[in-house]
Amino acid sequence: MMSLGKLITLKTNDNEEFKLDKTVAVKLEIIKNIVQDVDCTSNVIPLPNIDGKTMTKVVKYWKKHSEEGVTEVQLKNFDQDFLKMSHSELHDVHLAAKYLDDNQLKEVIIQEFLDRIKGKPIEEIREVFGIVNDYTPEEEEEVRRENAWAFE
Amino acid sequence: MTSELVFTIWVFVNSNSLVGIFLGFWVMERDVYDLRRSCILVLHHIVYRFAFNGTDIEHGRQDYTVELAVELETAARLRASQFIFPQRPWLEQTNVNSPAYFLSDLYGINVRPVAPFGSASSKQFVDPALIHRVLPDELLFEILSKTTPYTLGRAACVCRKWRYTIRNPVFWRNACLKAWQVSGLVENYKVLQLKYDGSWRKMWLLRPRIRTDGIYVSRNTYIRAGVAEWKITNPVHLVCVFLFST
Repeated sequence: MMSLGKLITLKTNDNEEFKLDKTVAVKLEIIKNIVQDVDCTSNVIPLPNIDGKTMTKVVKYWKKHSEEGVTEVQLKNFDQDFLKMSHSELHDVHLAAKYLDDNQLKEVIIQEFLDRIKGKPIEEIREVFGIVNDYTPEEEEEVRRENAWAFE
Repeated sequence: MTSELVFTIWVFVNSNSLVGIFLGFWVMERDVYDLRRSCILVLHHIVYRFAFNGTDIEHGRQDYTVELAVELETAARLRASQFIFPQRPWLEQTNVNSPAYFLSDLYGINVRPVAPFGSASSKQFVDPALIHRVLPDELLFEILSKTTPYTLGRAACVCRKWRYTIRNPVFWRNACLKAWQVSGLVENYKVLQLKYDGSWRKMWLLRPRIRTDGIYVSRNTYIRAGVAEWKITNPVHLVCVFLFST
């Protein structure tokens, strides 16, 4: 049975509140510092840079990753599902992770971006990210020739 | 400052192996900062030569390489300076509109910003690519720095912004140091300065390397007779050909 004193409330910039078990929350440097500075188990920690939608995702991730008795495979599957979001959502989560100084989450997101680029033909990368090809045909030929070694 | 300046300095050292050093510096269309740096370099050289006045040049050169090894990073940075922002605090502090203001030193590495195409026009430019609107340059940099050089080479073909981001020598330094890690850090820096004009990218492209990201599917060895000379030498070439596949 969890005692009430062990809960920490995080409040996002759109006034959404997240109650987190203290053991989960203090894993994060920034929250740990705030908790150490003031005994704020009764108070609310404001997170002015994060909105509720993003925080829901972050909290979901933390909860899963601090659960006990979760196997590696389960975590892997969870991560796969977790990362199925649009580029802008991913970016929001990345910013949140950066603000909260959560290196693990940051790494996971960068890896996801990387996986979306890796091993794909150039046309597909452009399509996936909606990048407009701003090379002139001559330039494109030049840059392809310059990087032909990468396609071997 | 756009004037042309020519620095010519002759230094004569009374050592038997060294008659004189000629140092020519032609500073063209550079700003005062670069000029000052060049002067410091020249002065450093002079002081160095006079300090070691009388010692033979071989010894002097050895000393110099040792010094280089300690300050590897600074030495490499001088050559690669065209890709990296020189530190100009007086500009960056005042000009908030300059991209340098936002980008310099975010990650301890200066990433050269790329002007989006159409930036010369007066109307507000909106990048049509979502990834560029949501991914700030330094995140793009961070993502790309995690990848392999081969993915980098392909990514450079995507668009101009990516190409210029990938031109950053940091990527190629990491690639080179990884590919030739067996030879060691100091050795790699020496090779870089001696053979590849301090350009990591050039080193990556030109220096032969063993690829480890695929499989060697076959090995074929044969012996080829060489050209005999004056009946003294009779060379034989042992040729080993590997077929590689990714």
